[in-house]
Amino acid sequence: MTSQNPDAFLPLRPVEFQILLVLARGDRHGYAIIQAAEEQTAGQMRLETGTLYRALRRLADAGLVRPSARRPAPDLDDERRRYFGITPLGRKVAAAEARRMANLVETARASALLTKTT
Amino acid sequence: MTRRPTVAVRLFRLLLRLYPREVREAQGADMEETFGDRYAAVRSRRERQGLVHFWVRAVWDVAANAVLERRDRRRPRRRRDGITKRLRGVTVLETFGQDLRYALRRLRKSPGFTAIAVVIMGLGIGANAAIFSIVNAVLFRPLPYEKPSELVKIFTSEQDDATPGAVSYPDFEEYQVVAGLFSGAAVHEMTMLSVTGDAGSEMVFGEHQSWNYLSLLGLVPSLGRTFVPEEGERGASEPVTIVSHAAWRRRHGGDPDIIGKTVRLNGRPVTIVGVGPEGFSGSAVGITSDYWVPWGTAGLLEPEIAEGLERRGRRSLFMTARLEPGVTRDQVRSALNVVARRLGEEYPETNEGRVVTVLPASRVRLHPIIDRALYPVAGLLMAVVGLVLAVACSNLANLLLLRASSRRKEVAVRLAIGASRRRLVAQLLTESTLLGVIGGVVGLALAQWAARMLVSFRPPLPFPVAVDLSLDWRVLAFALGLAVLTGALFGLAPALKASRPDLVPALKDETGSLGLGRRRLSLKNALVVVQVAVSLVLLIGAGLFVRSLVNTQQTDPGFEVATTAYATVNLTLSGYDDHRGREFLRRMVERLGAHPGVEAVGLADMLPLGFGIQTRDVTIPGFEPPPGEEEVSVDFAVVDGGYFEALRVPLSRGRLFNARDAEDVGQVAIVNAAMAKRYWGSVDVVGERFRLGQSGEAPEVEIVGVAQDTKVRTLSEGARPLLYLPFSQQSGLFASVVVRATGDPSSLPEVMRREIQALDSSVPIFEAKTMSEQLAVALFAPRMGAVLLACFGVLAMVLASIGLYGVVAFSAAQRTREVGVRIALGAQRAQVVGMVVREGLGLVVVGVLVGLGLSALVMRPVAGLLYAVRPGDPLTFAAVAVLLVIVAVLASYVPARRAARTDPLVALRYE
Repeated sequence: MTSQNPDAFLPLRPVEFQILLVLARGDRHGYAIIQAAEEQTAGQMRLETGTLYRALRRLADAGLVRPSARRPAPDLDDERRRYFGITPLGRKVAAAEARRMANLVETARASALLTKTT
Repeated sequence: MTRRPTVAVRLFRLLLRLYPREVREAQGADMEETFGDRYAAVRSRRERQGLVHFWVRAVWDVAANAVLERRDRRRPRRRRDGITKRLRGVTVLETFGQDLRYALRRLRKSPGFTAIAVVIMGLGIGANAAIFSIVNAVLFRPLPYEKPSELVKIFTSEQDDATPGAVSYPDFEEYQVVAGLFSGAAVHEMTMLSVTGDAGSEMVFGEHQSWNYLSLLGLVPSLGRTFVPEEGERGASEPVTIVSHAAWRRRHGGDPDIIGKTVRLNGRPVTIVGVGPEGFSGSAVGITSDYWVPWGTAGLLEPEIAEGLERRGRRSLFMTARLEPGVTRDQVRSALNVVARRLGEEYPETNEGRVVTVLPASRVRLHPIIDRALYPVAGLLMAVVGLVLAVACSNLANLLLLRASSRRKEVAVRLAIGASRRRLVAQLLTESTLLGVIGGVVGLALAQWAARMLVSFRPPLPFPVAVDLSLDWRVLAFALGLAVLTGALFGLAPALKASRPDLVPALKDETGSLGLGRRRLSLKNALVVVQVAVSLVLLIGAGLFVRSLVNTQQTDPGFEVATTAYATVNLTLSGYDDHRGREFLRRMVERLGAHPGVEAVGLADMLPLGFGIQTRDVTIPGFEPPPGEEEVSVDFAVVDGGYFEALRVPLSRGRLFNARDAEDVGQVAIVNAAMAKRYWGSVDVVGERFRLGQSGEAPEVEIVGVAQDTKVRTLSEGARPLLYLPFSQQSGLFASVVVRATGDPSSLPEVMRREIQALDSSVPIFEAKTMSEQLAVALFAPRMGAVLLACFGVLAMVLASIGLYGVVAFSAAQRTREVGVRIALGAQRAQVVGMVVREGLGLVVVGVLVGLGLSALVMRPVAGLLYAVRPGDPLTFAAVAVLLVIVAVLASYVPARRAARTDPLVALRYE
C-alpha cells in the first residue's frame, strides 16, 4: 500500500462510499450489502451484482475492505457465502469522505443553495 | 454442501464468461450466490414485468462491468468525473433505454413475428457459432500457458523447402545454450505407450518431455510434483511418469493417493510422481496424451529412444522456449541460424543447409504443416455457414420490411406530429438489433448443442480426440457481435424505407392493392431471389458431395471387406527382439488359423486404406524417372503369403511368398499390376529385377508374382503402384494380422484380442476391428463433408421457404380486397390459388436461374474434392432445382389456399 493517508482516496465514488457505510455497521455478504444499501438510501441506490463486486474488488485492492472470517451464528449462516468487512483504514476513509461531504453541504448552505430543513 | 444451481443462476454463470478469467475465478462463485438471492427475491414478488426488467438490468450490468474489468487490465484506470460522463454518454444512454423499452414492448405485442424472427436468426447465428466454436477450439483458443506471448516454438527445415520440421536432441542442446535468448527451453515428442491394466494391454498416446517442460509452460501439477533434472538425463535409473489429469480421472478413477503408485508402461512398472494440471491434456490440440515421461525414463521404456537422442539426424522433437524479456523472435532466428550454419559445417551429413524457423507458440496447434492445411478447411466451412447466415439475414430483412408496411400508419402519424426521421430510424434499428441479439442468444444455445453433436460424430480413430468446446469469450463475442451487426445492418434498409412512407395515402389508411406482380424489382422480391439462389448453391454443393460419397462407397477397394477383420500389435514395446517376435507372430497365425470359422490368416505391416503411408525408393533398370522427379518412389507393404488369401487379392502371374523365401539368398517381391505396367509397360514381369534404394549397391530384388490392383491410400485414387515385400525377409515387430471368416466377421476382433492376450498378455493391441469398420475411417472425411453440407443446405432451404411463405402470405393478405372482388365476380378458387402461387413461383424461378449460374462458377474449385462427379453434374443441378421449385410451390400454396377461402363479403365490407 502506497499511502495510509485517508484523504488520498477522496473523492470516493457513490457506490464505494455507500458500501463503506453499510460495512461500517458490521460484516455482510454480497446480497446483504445490496439490501442494506437500498434501505439506507430509501431505494435510491439499487446495486447490481457486477457493479457491487467490481467496487468490492477495488475497495479490497485499496485496502479499505477485506474478506472477513467472522460469521454471525453458524446455524443462521450459509457456509458458502463470503463476508466482507471494513478495515480500520476503510473506516478512516469513509469518515474523511463524510467530512468532505459535510463541508460541501455547509458551503452549499452558505451559498444559499440549500435551506435547512426543520 | 452445494445446492443445484437453478436455470437462472446457470444463465448468469454463462454471462460471467464475459469477465476475465482471474476475476471469474476469484469472485464468480460469490457473484452467483448473490445473484441467486436477488433473483429469488424478485421472483417471489411474482411480477413478470419485474422479472424482465431485472434480467435486462442484470445483463447490462454484467456486460458493462466485464468490459470495464477487461479494460482495467489492459491499461490503468483513468478516473472520470461525473460531469464529463453526463455530457457524453448518459443522454444517449437514456434515449437508448427508451428505444429499448419501446422495442421490447413492440416485440411482446406481436409474439408470432418475434418468434419467427428469433428462430430464423437463431438458426443462422447458431450454425455460424457452432462451426466457429469448433474452429476456435482447434485454431484459436489460447493454450493454458503462462505468459504465452513469451513462448516460441523452434523448427528447422531444409534451406530450399518451406515446410518447418522438428529438431534433434543434439541440435536442441546446442540451440538451448545460446546466451541471452531464452529463460528456459525444452523439447517434447508424441509417442505411443502400452499400458497394462487388469483388462490387458492397450496403446495410448504419451509424451516424452524435458524435465522442465511443464514448468517452462507455467503449468503446475494438480497433485504431486514435476520432474527433477536427474529424471531428464540419459542414464536415469528409476522410471517415473506424470499422468495427465484426464487420464487420472479416466484410468485411475481420480485416486487421490495415486502419487507413489506404479503403472505398467511398455511392460515396466513406472512410478507416478504427479498428476497433470486440469485443462491441459497434452501438447497437441485435440489429441489427449495420457502419460508423460521424462527423457531419462523414455530411454528405459524404449531403448531405441536412448540411442536416438544421440543421433543428430533423428529430428522428431518439438522445441519450445521462453524468451528473455525484450528478446524478439527475429533476434532468436538470426542467433540460432548462426549456430545452425556452424552445425552444418561440423556435421554436413546431417545438418548441411538446415535453417531455423521461430514461430509464436500460440500459432502452433498440431504441427505447422497440418495447421496450414486446416486454415482453408476452416475458411471453407465458415464460408458455407456464412451463406446460411446470409439467407437468414435477408429473411429477417424481409420480415422487417413486411412489418414496416403494416406499420405505415403508425410511422406516418409519428412523422406527421414531428418525430425526426433519425429518431425513428434509431428506434427501428434498436428493434431489429434486439431481435438479432435475442436470436444470437438462442443461436448460442443451439450452437453449443450442435457443436457437441458434431464432435460426437467422432472419427473412428484408435485414440481419444478431445476438443475443448466450452464457451469462451471469443465464441461469445463472435456470436453476439454477429447478432448485433446483422441485426443492425439488415434492419437498416427496412428502417430507412419504413421511415419514408407516402404520408397522405398512409394516413388515409389505404393499404393499396399493389401485389408483388406490379413492382417486380422491389427490395422484398430481390431478397427472396437472393435466398433462393444462395440456398440453391448450398444444396447443389451438398448434392455433389453426396453423389461423390455414394460413388466412393460403391468403389471396389480390390480386396475382401465384408468378411475380414484385423488386429495390430506392437512387439517392440513389450521388449521382443526380431527372433522372438517372428516366433510370436508365427504362433499367433497358427492359433488364429485353427480357430473355427476362420478361413485364412495373413500378416502385414500396413493395411491398405489405413492411416499411414510408407514409400520406398526403387531403381528400375531401363526406367527413366520423368523430368522433375529425381527418384522413383512407390508405396509398399510387408506381407506374408497368407495376406493375399485372407484379403482375396488374386495373383495374375507368378507365385505367392512362401516359407522358402526366408532362407533364399536373393530377395523377392510381388508387385501389383499398376506398378508392373507403369515401370515395365506390361504385367509379364515375373523374373524381372530391380533395386531397393537409389544407389548401385542397393540390394537387388526379383519379382516372383504380380497381384491385382487394390486401393492403397484412398478409395478415390486411380490405380496406384504398390510393392509387396515378404515378411520373412524384413524385420517386422509392428504387425497387423488379417483374418477372413467363413461368414460374419463381427466377433473376430474379440477373438483376436483373446488369442493374442492368451499368447502373451503384455503385448499391447493397437487396435482390433473388422475391415468394414476400418473402411469407415477412410470414408469419414467425405461422409462428414456430405453430412455437413447437406445439413446446411437443407437449413438454408427451410429458411428460404419460410421467407417465401412470408412474402407470399403478406402479398396475398394485401390483396384481400382484390381477391374478394375477383371471387365476387365469379373467379374459381383454383384460379385464385394459381394466381397467388404463380407470383411466388416467378420469384423462385428467377432465384433458381441465378443460383444455377452462381453454382456453375462456385463449384469449379471444389472439383478436387469430388470423386467421379463433375462439378457441373447436370443430374445434381437439375434435381436440386426441381426440389427447390417443389418446395417453393408448397410454401406458396398454403397462403394461396387461405387467400382462395376469402369470403367476398368480409373482404369487401371495408370498401
